[in-house]
Amino acid sequence: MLSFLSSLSFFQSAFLWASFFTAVILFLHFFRRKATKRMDISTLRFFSTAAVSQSKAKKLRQLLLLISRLLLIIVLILIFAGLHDKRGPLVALRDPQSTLYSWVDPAVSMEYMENGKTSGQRAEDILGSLVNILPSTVDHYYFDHESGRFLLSREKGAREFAGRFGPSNLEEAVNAFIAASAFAANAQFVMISDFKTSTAALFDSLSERLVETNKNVICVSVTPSKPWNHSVKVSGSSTLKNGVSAVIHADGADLDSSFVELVAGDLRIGQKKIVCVNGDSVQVTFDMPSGVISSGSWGKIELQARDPLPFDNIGYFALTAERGRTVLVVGNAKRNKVIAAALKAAAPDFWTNVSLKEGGELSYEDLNSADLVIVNSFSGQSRILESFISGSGIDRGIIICLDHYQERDFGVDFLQRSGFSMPAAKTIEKGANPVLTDTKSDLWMGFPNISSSKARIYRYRNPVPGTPLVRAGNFPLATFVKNPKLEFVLLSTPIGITDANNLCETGFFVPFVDRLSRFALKGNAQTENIWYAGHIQRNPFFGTERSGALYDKDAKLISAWSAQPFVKVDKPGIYSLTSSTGETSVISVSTHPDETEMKFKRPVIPNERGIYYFEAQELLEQIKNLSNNIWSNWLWVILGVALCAEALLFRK
Amino acid sequence: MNTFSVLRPEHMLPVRNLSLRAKMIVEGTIAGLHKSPFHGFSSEFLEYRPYLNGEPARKIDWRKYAKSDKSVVRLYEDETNMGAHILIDKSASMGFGSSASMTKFDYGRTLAAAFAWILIRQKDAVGLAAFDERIHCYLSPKSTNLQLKNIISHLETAAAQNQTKCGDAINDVAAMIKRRGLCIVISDFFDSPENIARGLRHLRFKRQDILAIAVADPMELDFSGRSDFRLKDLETGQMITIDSQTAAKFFNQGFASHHAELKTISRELEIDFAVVTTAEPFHTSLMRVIEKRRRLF
Repeated sequence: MLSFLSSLSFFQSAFLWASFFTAVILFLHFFRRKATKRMDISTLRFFSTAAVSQSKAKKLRQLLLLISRLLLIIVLILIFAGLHDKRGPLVALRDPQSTLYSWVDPAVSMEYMENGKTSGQRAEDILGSLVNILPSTVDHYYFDHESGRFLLSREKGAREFAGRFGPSNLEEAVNAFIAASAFAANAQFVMISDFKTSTAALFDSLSERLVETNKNVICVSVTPSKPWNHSVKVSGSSTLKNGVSAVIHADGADLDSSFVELVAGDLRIGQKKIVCVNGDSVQVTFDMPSGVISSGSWGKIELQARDPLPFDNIGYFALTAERGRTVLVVGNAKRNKVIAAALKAAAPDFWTNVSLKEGGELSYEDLNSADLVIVNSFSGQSRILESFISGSGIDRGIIICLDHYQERDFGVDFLQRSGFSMPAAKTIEKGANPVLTDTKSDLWMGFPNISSSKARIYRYRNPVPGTPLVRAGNFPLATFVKNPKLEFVLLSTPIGITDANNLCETGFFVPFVDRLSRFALKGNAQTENIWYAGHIQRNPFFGTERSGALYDKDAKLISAWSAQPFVKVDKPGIYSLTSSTGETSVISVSTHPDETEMKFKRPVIPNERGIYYFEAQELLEQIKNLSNNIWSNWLWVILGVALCAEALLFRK
Repeated sequence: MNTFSVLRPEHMLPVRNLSLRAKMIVEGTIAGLHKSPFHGFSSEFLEYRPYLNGEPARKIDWRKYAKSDKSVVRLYEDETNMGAHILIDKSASMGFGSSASMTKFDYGRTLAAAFAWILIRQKDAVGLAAFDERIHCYLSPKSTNLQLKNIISHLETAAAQNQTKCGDAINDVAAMIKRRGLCIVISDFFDSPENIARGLRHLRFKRQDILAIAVADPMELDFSGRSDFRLKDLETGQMITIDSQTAAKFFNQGFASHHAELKTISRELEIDFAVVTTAEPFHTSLMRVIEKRRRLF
């Protein structure tokens, strides 16, 4: 009983002051009540039993009338005060003073078509149903995905769903809600999503912050009941030489009797039949007829199949020649010449631009334009280099070589400042051979099978942090250091002209430097070339003092890029990027693979902490029940009964 | 209460000023001075008068009718004193009075004394019977002044108490009456109409001319009030609590119905029935009773 009473609440408790009227009713009743007069009378013969009964009935009627009037007043007060059971998750929405904030997941996966309607449109319909039951005084703010702010909705009912590519902006919406709800007395947050795994994980990470707001959060899932999807993903870089490859994935349903078409430019180049069982992938490769297609052309691979989520059935590509990499070797230029020579010797087409810079000559432009930075035999400090490694290590390949002789060696100092223990200088008089334990690993794949017995390491530093890549004797020659802030390859000995080792004098040196450099580039080698719709990319004109314009394939200007560090293309397709100096390149923008995955997950809802989770149908039923608010119904019934009692019992 | 207080001049003077004596047809032993209203059974023939419709057929002089073919009634002049009985109800219900000054019993015994005084003045023999559930005092009719004193003395000492058995008491008085005469019954008649009718019928059987005077308190005639009542029956001591509206409705209806039945009984038994209220001046009520009786004869 106590829990029941404690669950009751009022939307407008100010109306409870009207309870004073019950006191007025009581006062009037008792004030007007006639005092019983004691009187002797000649005879009671004329007062039959019926008279006494009638009198008693009259008193009872007056009592009932009093009760019905009190009930009438109380019920009216309760109706105006908005009595409700506060335990219901949706009940708070009926509060005339509440404010509703809504976020409909704009992910392209919400375009999933089921029963003739997309998940997104279902979400908008549900939101419309929810908005329709709100009292007219409640303001509804919807999250505008373009401006990243909540905007006041002027219209009732369902809106048109518009999906967008790119990562979820749930965090942005939550931040906006938290900021807005700080000034709203009774703010409610409704989020409707299909809860893809990534979205659910994002929500889980944000749920604690939402709980702290003490506001009602209603999560509504519009996850498809039996999701299936087929997708096309163009793999690798498409070149005239290698042709175009695409991976066709069947998720949730078999793919049979379907075709994949290759279109380059406006020409339909080929078609292949595809059979793929549920959960499997098939790779399709089209050779490019070089006589017809020239480098710089664009194209697409399109899957011809029935699909509830068709946006990912096209993979775009731009035919490009393989781009050369720029290497910047920082340190003693005389000692480092051999490194540049080794790279040029190893792959002149790949390592197209290798430059040597002393530490004091470094500029941001030098570093920004480099794909790989090798720090070797650099004595001294460089704040530019240090901040570059700390801030951009994940984007670029970085190799740091520790020098045994050098005083104030940059590498040793950098390790110390980054929180690593200082490695001690070690010497082996006879020297130690590099040990290649696994030539099939990612690092050594393709490494020539040559002997390393002539290579000798005499001086080195130990211990060094990171995962060993190459060992020499009982110490690591090269390690891979990776933490949230830093990512680089660390060598325990210098690799230029040095008396610490004889690497550059052996046949081991060239492939060693080449493979190590390629390994250092590996983390960013591909992301640089692949554009995903809705995902930010590094502005190719950033730091170049040039600008550019992006056009779609119909030569319509999409956006102008100048000095901003990051840029974004909203939709997949083929775009032309023209720089201010007149150079033009083609960009193929694809759908991010995560967005095509049909993997959903229910978010972890903190129990009874103001966050509620509903399936779509469940919510619609709740809305229906809320429309027929049981409390409201009972109050109106009681009001009707009280009015009837008043009409029946009242006697002038 | 002394004689004077009961028979206060301001009560009796109006009756005299209205020339009661001059208008009365029979005056007992001092016949001729006044015409008494209490006549109708004397032996000395006075004159004929035309028969009026509604009069008892027994009054028609059939011999004259046979001779002249006219319906006439013989009027007699009294030769002897009339024997009158005053029956007064002294039950507890008569003790009711909504105003502090006069209860029904006070009013009734004042009337009784007045009647006795009038009758004695007319040299008529007057007797008294005071009753409640039984007869408490019976004085056989006499026409002396001592009788008047006795009557008044009895009236003074009587107190309103006990339950009413009006019908039985009248019945008992009727059994004691030997000769024809006049009976003045002063009561509130709060007994069952059947009992009352039985008693009155018995009186009629004893050839009594009956004047029934129902004494009522003004509140009994119009029972009303604003407050709820806790009512106590003066006779039985029974108590009820009732709201004013219901009380008024039931009492007024019951009282009116009871009096209607009494009137019906009176009509059937050829009894003069008059209702007087304690708020009414004595001379008014006396005159009303006397005037009514005079019209009838």
